[in-house]
Amino acid sequence: MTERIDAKGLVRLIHGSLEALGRHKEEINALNVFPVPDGDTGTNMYLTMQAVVEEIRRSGDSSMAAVCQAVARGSLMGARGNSGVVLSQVLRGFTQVLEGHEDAGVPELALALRKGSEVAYRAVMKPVEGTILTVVREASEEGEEASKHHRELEDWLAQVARRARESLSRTPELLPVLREAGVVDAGGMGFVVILEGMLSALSGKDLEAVEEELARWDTPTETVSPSQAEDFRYEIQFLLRCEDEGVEDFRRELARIGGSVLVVGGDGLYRVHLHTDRLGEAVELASARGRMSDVEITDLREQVENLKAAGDTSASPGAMGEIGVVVVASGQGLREVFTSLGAGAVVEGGQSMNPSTAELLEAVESLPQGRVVILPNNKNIVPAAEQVKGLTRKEVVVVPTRSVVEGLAALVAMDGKLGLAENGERMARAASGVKTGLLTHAVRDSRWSGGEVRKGYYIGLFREGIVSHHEDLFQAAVGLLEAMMEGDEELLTVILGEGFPEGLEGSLREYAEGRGLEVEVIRGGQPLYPLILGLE
Amino acid sequence: MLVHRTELGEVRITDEALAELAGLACTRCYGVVGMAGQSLQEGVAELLGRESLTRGVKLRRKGDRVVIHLYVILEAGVNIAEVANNLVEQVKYVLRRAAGLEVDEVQVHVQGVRTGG
Repeated sequence: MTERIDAKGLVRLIHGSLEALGRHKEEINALNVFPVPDGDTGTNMYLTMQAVVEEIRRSGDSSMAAVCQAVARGSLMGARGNSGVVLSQVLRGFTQVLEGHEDAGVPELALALRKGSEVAYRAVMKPVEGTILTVVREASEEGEEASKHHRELEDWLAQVARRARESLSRTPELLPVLREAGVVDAGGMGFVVILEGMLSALSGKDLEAVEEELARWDTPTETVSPSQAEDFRYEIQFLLRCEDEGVEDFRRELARIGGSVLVVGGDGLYRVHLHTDRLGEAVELASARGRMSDVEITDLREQVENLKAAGDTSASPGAMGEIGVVVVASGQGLREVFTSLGAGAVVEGGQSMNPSTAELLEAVESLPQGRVVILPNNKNIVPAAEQVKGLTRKEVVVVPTRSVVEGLAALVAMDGKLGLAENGERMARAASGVKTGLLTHAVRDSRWSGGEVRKGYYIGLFREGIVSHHEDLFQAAVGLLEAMMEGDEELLTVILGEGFPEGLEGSLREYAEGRGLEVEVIRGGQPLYPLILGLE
Repeated sequence: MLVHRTELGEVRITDEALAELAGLACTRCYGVVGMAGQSLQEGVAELLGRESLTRGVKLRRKGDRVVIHLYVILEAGVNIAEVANNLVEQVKYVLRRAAGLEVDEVQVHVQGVRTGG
C-alpha cells in the first residue's frame, strides 16, 4: 500500500496506462461510432500516450516538474484524433497541479484530476455528454469525494476507476448514436482502461486481476467489457463491405448465434464483433451479406475458464449483465438457443406441461441477478409466472410471451443497458411484433369451420384457430404460412421440432424464399410441434 | 443549392442550410472554442449579441466543386494541426451524413487562440 508517489511513481503509472491501452486498443476501436465512425479511437489514444512515454524518456530529467512538463508536451505534440486531443487536455490540467509538488498523495491527485476535467471541458463550445468528457468529469467528482475517505492511493484510485466504469456504462443513455449502435463510448472506454492500467501499476497486480476485481464491484452492463463472463468459445472480428439496408437484419442474425454483437459503421463499410460458438455460421452469414476482410478470431475459452475458477460456479449469469432471464421452453435445441441469447435459466415446459410457480421461483432465485425477467412462452403459464413476483425479494417482470417465437423476439430485443421496466416494455413490444404459427397432429377426428380433420392429419394453428390441414406435413406447413402472411413480412423463423422429417427443411426454405422471406432455421427439438413458425 | 432527385420529387438544400450544418459541427468539435465573423454584417450581429450558426463559415463553389472555409478560434494549448484535421473530418462527415453532400475541400483558418482561465 502506498500513500504518496514521486516522479518515478508517476512515470510507472503512465507506463501502466500505455500497456493497458495497448492491450485493449482493438476493442476500443470496435466501439468507435462518434463523432466520426472511423474505428481508430483506441489506436489514437494509444499513440497519444506513447508520445507521452517517449517524451518522458527523451527529457531524461526525473524531477516531478520535468516529468510533468514532458507529459504535457508529449501529449500536446503527439495528440491523435479527437480523443487524443481531449486526453492531452486532461493530462495538461492534471500536470499543472502536480508540477508544483515533489510528491503527491490522494489530496493532490484528486485536485489534479479535477483540474484535468476542468481544462478538458474548457476547450469546446458545446461539450457533448455521453463521451470521454462525461467519464472524466464523473471520475474526477468521485476523486474529490473519495479523497475524504481514503489515504491509500490504491483504494482511492480503485474507487475512481469503478466510478469511471459505471459512468461509461451510462454513456448510451446520454448519447443516442451510441444507443442506436448498442455500444458504450470508445473514448470513455479508453479513459477507463487508462485508470485501470494505472491501478495495475500502482498495486503491482496484473491487469486482468485488476479488471476482474473492479468488474465484481460494478454493475457490468457494457455490451463489451474486457472481463465480462460469457460462455461463447470464440470472438470473431472483421470488416464487412455490404449494402446498408440489410445491416439491421444482419445484426439480428448474429444475435441469434452469439453474444456481444457489435455492427458499427455506415456507408457500406461496417466493423463487426461477435462472441459465438458457431464460427462457421457467422462467416456464412457475413459472406452472404458482402465482402469480409481483416478477419480476426480469438479463442475465449481460456478467459472463461479463468473466470469460472474465480468462483463463478452457480447458474450461468447469462449475457445480459445485471438483469437475469428465466425462460420456459422444451427441447434441447431451444434450450441452447435461449441460453446462447442470454437466458440464465431455462425451465422445462410448454403446451400440456406447464411448470409450477415453485419451479419458476426456484429458477429466479438461482440467478445471481437481483432483477429478473420471466418469459413464459405460453399463455397458460403467464399466471404462474405472475405469482412469482409476490414470492421473491427480487424485482421481477413477466413479459407475457405466448410462444417460443415471441420469447425469442423478446430476448433479442433485450438491452442490458436499460432498466428493468423499460426492458419489459421493449420486450413486450418486440414479442407482439411477431406472429406465431404452430403445426401439430390432430389427435382425433373433428370438425371445424373449414371442414373435417381426420386423426393423424397435420394441422396448422394460427391465432387460436385451425388454418390448414393436410396429411402431408409440407402441404400443411405451406397452408399455415400462407394463412399467416399479410404481405409486409420479411423474416421467417422456422423452429424444427421432434418428428420433422429430415430433408424437408430445404423445400420449406425454398418455398418461403420464393415468397420473398428471409429464412432463419433453428433446430429446436421441441415435442408435440414438428414445426413452429415465427413471422415478422 | 444542393438538389437530390428522388422518385417522389426533388429535395433542395440551400447553401445557407449547408453552412449551418458545418457551423454546428464546429461548435461540437473538440478544441474549437469560437467562430470568427468575417463580414461587417456578421461583426454587427456579433456586437448585437445575435448568435448565428453560420458565423465563420463560408461555402464557395468552384464549378462543381464545393469548398468550405472555416474561421475558427481554438483553445490555447491544443495541438492546432490535429484539431484542424479533426475538424475537417467531422465537417465532411456531418455534411455527408445529414445532407448527402461530398465536400471537396475544407479550409480551416485559425483566426485566434484563446488563452487565460
